[in-house]
Amino acid sequence: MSEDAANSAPHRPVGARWRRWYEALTTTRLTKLGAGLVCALFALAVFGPAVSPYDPAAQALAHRLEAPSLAHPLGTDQLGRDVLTRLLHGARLSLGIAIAVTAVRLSLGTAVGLVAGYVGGWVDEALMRLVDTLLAFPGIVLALVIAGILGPSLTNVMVALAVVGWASYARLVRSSVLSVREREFVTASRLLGRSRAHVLGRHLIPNVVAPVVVLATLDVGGVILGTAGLSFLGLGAQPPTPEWGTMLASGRNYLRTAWWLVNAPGVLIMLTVFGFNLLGDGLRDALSPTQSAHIEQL
Amino acid sequence: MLTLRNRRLSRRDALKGATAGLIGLAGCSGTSQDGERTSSSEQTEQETTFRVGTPWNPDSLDPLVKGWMFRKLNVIEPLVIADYNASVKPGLASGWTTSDDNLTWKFTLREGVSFHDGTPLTVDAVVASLRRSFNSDSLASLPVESVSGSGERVVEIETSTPFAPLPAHLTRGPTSIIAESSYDDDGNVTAPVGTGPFQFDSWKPGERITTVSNPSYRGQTPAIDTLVYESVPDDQTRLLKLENAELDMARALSGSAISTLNDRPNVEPVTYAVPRSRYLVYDTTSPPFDDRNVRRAVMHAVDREKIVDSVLNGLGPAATGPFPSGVTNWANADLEPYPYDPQTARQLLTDAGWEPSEDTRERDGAPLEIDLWTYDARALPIVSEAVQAQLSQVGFDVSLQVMDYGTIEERANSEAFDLVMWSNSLLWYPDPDRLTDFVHSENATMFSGYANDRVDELLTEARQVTDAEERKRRYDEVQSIIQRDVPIGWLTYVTNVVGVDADVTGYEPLPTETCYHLENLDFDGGENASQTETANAQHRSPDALFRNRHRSKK
Repeated sequence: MSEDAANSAPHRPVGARWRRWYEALTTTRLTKLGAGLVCALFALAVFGPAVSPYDPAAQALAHRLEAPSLAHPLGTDQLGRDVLTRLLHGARLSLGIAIAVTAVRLSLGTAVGLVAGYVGGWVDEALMRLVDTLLAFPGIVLALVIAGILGPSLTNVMVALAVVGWASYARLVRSSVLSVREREFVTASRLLGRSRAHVLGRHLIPNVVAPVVVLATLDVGGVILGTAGLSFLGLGAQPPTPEWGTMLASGRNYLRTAWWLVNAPGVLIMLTVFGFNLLGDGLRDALSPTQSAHIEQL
Repeated sequence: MLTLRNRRLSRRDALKGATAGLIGLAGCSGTSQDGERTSSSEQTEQETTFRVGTPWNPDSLDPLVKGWMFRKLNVIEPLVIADYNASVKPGLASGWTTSDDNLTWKFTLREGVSFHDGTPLTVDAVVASLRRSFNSDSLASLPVESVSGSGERVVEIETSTPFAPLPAHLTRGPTSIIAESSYDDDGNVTAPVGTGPFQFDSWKPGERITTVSNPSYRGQTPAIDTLVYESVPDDQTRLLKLENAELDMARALSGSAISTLNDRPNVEPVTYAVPRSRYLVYDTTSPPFDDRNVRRAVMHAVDREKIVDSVLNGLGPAATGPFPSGVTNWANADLEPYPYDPQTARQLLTDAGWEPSEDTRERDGAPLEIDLWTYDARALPIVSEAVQAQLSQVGFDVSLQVMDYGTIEERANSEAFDLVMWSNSLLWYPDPDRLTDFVHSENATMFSGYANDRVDELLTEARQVTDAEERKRRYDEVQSIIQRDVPIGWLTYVTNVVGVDADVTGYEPLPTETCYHLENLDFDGGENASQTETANAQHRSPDALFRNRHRSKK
């Protein structure tokens, strides 16, 4: 284990690596804003529901469509439920889904990309043609079709979004692997008789992590938007689940009389996606200037 | 502006001017504060265009497919039409008689009627049109044996069994009479050539139908010259288009639109009760709703009054039985409503073996979990959410799924389900035989699986007698039995909300929703307003009690 650690490609102490990430996050004001938004959102999702005195599903028909007040800072909805409480529970749900879907996309895409890039030959050909096929479809349309076939539920939306989104990771990882595998330390490791698994695990994976993390950060915002979009169309969360897209859809009928029903989830979705995109952009610029061209193309 | 003239126009000035102009234009396209209307019902001496926005999609010209749509516009007319009491009255037939055995019906055609193509309405034309209708799938369930002409003015319809609801079925869109010139050589309808006050002009499939007034109509010529039927699926868009005068009438609006319509000077809401219900269909063939006590428990657990007062903006009212007594005399006035009483509901569930547990009741270790399916129309999702919460109060665990209308029909007909929330008209053909569609053991189209011999017997008998009293007695008994057995849980009736341009007068909505009767409309300030007002009076129903203008401002 200690020998392995000593042999790993980027020889940096742990503290330095963290410092690099910290520096990356604080390079520009916009990145700081993005990081701040994302942190705030996580804090809301984790602590918010515990602080809120209301039950997100508890209806109070006598108090429906009440404008924002001290008791209900973001008003109540068409069934008298506290909008802020529902947003907080929705944040937990949206972030959870986004992270889960992104993790699946990332794992699947990275695995395919590593295999394609490292093994090469017909395996690479076959996998990349599959990736091309997937990338040829507009992601959200394909997800719409899959979710439509599977039937309306949040799980099916997650499946649909995971299925359509992994191809960009595969493409990114493959191209990184193609360049890294020609580097001298990889050749040296192979000459030393290291197994393929060792080379993959110790040399290739650590060197493709940075661009993948950047892509994943940008992706989280997209998944949140995709989930909200599919739920808005009635394919996702079923009532009374406080999902942002569902809240937006059901509030639409009251757009004229109760503006807070649509604006609250709408603004939150916007801030969330904005935050993740700023953070992702900042990370990309700071961490891997050489990789940015690849990401740009994707 | 004056200074602008004295110097050269820089690019910045040009931009400023353009922006100001755009803002000005945007302001003009709306409604100004004093309520002046920028109208689409362009009233000139020659031409009045009236646009109706609806959620429904015109995708066929054939009366067998979309006859109801052309019926609503009054392009085509059947032998019999629905009146303001949700009953039948003469249409193209001036009257009808039945033989002693109630198997032969004789309809006498109205005199002096001609089709839009100028040809007269003859017995031959009516027989040909009706034969096509009765041979089609849409009317296949009717026991019609033959249609033939008898003399100059009489059309005979023979049925295989006595069938009292026949005149009511003859009000349906697919039975409307269209001329020979409606078809091409292959028998496809290329333009519905009917006899109504409006005649088909053109259409854009999926978007709109344009009709023009029929100058040779036997009654009064409509004040509207061009009537456009436009499909605008989204409720909010329909409302906005009405406010912006891109529509003159917006149909099927939600209750929350009323306050918006009242706040705007150029539009106003018209609300009217219709014989339509929102109801729960139970699967009476599978647990837990195979047990009548569980179905009754639901009826006691749902606070119908509260649902109407809150999420439906007071537009109901709460339902007792299938028919709203304010709209039709076929309602059984003696039905006892299920009062809201959660305690009784809990007791009924315990009696049925569903014992209280932590949140959800259990029987033999199995939790009382049910699926509630509904679709997105007529406020069904929000009513379902309220029902979901109320049922959870007595120990149900309800998972609500909003699905496509067709998917529910398909699944509920082919597999076991628990509960479906649905909305339908109980008198879209104005006869209580409609109950057959709900509770007959074999002929029902609603999927509860309910079977009761006495109900079947009564429904069959009521088809065979023509005396109204005799029929009512039987339908009353059917209503009592299903009130006891609850294969279907009636929740609320429906009050329609229509937004109309404030200048429109003479709009009397028909409770059966089968025809808009826009030929009776007139416009304030129209040149011929006073003269048509008098003429219109003859066309109007004496009882305008269904109509209720919410004009009172808060």
